[in-house]
This record gives sequence, structure tokens and C-alpha cells, in this order.
Amino acid sequence: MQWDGSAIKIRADAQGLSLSELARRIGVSRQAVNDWIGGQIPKGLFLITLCDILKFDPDELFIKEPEESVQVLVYRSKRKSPVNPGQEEQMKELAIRYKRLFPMTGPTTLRPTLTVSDFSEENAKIIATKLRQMGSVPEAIPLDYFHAFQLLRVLDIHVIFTEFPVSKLYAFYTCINNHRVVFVNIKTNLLDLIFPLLNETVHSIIRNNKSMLVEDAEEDFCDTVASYTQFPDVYINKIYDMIQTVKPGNQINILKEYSRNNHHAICGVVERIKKLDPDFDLKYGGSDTNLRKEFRLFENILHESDSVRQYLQSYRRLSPLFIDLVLAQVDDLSSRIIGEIFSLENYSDMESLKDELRQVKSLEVAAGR
Amino acid sequence: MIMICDTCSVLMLIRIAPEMLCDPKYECVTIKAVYDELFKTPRFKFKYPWLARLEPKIKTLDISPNEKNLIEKNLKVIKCHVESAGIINTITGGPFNLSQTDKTIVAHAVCLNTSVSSVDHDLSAYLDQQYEIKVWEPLCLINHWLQNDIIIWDDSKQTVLENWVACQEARQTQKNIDKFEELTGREYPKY
Repeated sequence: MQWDGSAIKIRADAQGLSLSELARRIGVSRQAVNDWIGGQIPKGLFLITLCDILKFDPDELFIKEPEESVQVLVYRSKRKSPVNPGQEEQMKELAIRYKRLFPMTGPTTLRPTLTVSDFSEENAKIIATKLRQMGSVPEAIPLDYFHAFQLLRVLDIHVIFTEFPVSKLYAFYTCINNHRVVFVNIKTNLLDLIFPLLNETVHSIIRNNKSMLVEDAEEDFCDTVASYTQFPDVYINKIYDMIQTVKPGNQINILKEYSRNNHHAICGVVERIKKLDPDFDLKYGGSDTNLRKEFRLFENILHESDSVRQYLQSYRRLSPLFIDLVLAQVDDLSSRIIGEIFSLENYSDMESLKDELRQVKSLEVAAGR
Repeated sequence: MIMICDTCSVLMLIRIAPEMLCDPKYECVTIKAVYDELFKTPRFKFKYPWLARLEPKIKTLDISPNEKNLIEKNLKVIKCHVESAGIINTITGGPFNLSQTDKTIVAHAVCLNTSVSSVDHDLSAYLDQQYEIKVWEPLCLINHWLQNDIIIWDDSKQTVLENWVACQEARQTQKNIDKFEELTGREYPKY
């Protein structure tokens, strides 16, 4: 935000108040008021009195600059519903809260990790194959959440787990000071997490930071890559072979079993089967809802026990780059700021986590890491 | 002199003076945001097991509707002020790292014209540099109570001080440590 004191004189004139009188009422010199008009930010004490006397909303005195160093890409939420500008702004504000952690000394520009010549299906398959190799995902099985986070680490993407102010949004990609960051909503059911996580990963690696405007073609391409990355053809073919000769009731049971065992929703598989067989039509919505009830929210995975050590270890296992970033700065962060970073509301939790972070840091420093 | 105690200050002092937020002679108050930080359901093993029995003693300030409006207005100004480029902590040379609770404490202190008790460096610096509000560290408050015969020092209180050290609570300034030793004739526990 930038201070703009030029409105002071206009407002004082409109109220029939001379600048000398204004200065007297605030308890400062006339020169001080001139300095504020000229661009010097008043001390907090005087600013509050100034706003009170001239009936200013602070937004009239502080100009929100376009935040170039933090850019968010929020396009669609659950079931491809578009995200409105207000929601996008809320997500951007969330990302800005973490800006202080990301050093300005990063790369001067963000370059795509993978070059995408076109948004074709074939290209999507090629990229998906590369991503599965990079994430060390065993062949023929769907990518699970652990491998998804491993892939993000390999791609040098920071992952931040927090609660989103916008519901029905599972993950979004952000560029902060030219660092790639993916935010994950901790209120997401594990079953719903992997696909959006992969979608955001694809956005992050094919983009530079010139613009965060995204079009349907890119979003659809990211969906396609995410689908092929999560479900290799061999897995889809195997399921399709099994279900195409059985009755719909049994089809659902088979799909449910595979989905349960491999931690994914039924819809992702059905959408891919429809590509093989456009006439394939199966009502599966209720089964997916029931299946979801068998899986936990992501926050329950992070907070599996009441041990702060275990929490930090779980977080670091999934997001090592971000925890390293916090560890490097932990001595400069108050317990409350740590609380905000990790979505903790109880002061005891904030203190415990800060203690644990400091302990981990000192052990690693002692070990020469 | 009325003092708004932040969360850390309450945690450090409430066992030494359980009536500090109930009896006006202590000149201490706290706010709802602090109460919430103390008693929201913890996710980790609770670091302060003794706190539950003292919950009835953690009274928060009664705020009139007019004061509430003013505090909300102040909070909005404070947020813009802290986030604006050019507001620099002259001690660190960097921006002030204040949480939402920190800003809420500032808004209350400015509106109600009170002092603040805290050990947070950024909060203390912001209050001092921008509002000329004096910030008292917990040991300074203890010394004030001792000087005014509001508390009498004994072994149980000394044990709490030793617990501060064991729990690695924020170090107190040497000036306040010297004063404490002079007032009580006891040695301040060593870190």
C-alpha cells in the first residue's frame, strides 16, 4: 500500500478547516501536516486522529497498488464453477500474508519448467508420463497423495497447507517473488485432493509470471494432464475390461472397490472411461458421496496425534521446501505470526510449534546441515 | 495507569497474581482476542496444563458499543498503516511483523488510552515508535506490584519465575532483573 496525503487538503477545504487549525487539533505543527500532504506517512497516533477529524476511511489515504510480486491463479472451483473476482481477491490476500517468508533474492523471472508446444491430448499424455517418472510413481497404479507431494518437491514447488476463505476450492497456484507456491485447503477430503493438486502443478510448470490470466484451453489442458498423471491408461483399461460386461450395479461396486483401495473418487475414472467408450453412462454421484465419508479431511492427516513433533514431521514430509523456508526465519517470527502461518488458533499450540521449530533448527545447525 | 496484557503476559503473570484481571488494584485488563488465543481448542498437547483451573480468573474487558465501533475504526487504520510501504521498525530496519491479535491489541490501547504488557518485540516497537505507548514486560509489572505492596514475594511465586526459565519464556531486561533482586532480596533464576 502507498500513502497518498493529497486528499488531506481537499477534505480539510471541503470541511472549511484550515491546515493550521487541522494541525492545532491534531497537536502537531503546520509543517507536519504539509509533510503528510507531500508524501510523509504520519505516525500511527496522528493518523488515527487525522482520520477521525476529517472522517477519512483509511482506504482513501492508502492506495492499494497492484501486487506484482504475488500473483494468484484461481480459475475454477469444485465442478468447474467459475471463481468470481471477489473470491480471487480473497485468495490473493491469503497468499500475500505469506509473502514475507519468500526472499526477494529468488530468480528475477519465472521460467516454465516444461515447454508446452500445444494443448493437444497427445502432448498432455507426454507431459503426464514425464510427471509420473519425476514423482517416482510406480507404473500401472494411480498416483497417491504422497507421490503427488513428492512430485511437487521435485519440481521445486512450495506447498502451504491452510484453511481457505473460499469454500469448494481445494488448491490454487501462486507465484510469490518468483517462487512457485501451491496452496492446499486443509478442509479438503483426501479423495478430492489429488486431481486439483495435479491441475495446479501443471499450471505452475507451464507458466511464466507474465500474466496470470488463464483461458479455458489451458485449464482444460491442465485437467487432461492431471487426469493422465493420476490415472495411467493401463489402470483405466484394466477397470474398463472388468466392468464392461457386468451389470451397472456391479459396475459401481467394482469402481467403488478400486477407488477405495487407491484413494481416488469414482468420477475421475468414469470420465476417462467415457473417452474410451462415449456411450458409457453410469450414475455414480451417490456412490462417490458415500465413498467420501470413508476418507478423512487433509487436516486430520496433518493432525493425526496431539504431538507437535509428529505434526511438523508430517508437514515436512509433504512440504519440505516450505518448512525449510520457515526454519531459516524462525528466530525472527513471533509465536502469533507462526500461528497465522500454520492456521493455529490456540497460543499454546503456537508456542509449542515455535519451540519445536527452534529445536529442529538448532539440531540441524549443530549437525552442520 | 491501566495495562492491556497480551497472551504471553497473561500466561507469565496469572499464577503469580491470580486476581490480576479481577481486582482493579493490579491495573491490568485483557481483551477477548487474548482470551480466545488462550482457550480455543488446542491441537497439540497443552503446554500450560494449569491454565484450565485459572479460566474463571481470566476476565476480559467490557467494551461499550461506542468503544467497539471506535476500536473497529482504529483497527482498519492500523492495518493500512502497518501494511503501507514506508512504515519501518527503526530497531530492525524492516517492516513490523504484527499478527491480527497484535493489531487488535494496538487498536484497544489507542482507543482506551492504556499501556500494554507484552514481550513481543515488534508489538512493543510499533506501540513505542508510532503511538508513544509504553510497553511493560511482565517482570516490570511484578516490580511495580512489589513496590506498591500489591503482592508479597514468596517461594511459590519464585517457583513460577523458575518455570519461566524452564519454559524458555522471553528473557526480561537486566534493568528489571536488578530491580527485582533489589526488591525481593532473591536471585533471579538463571537461563
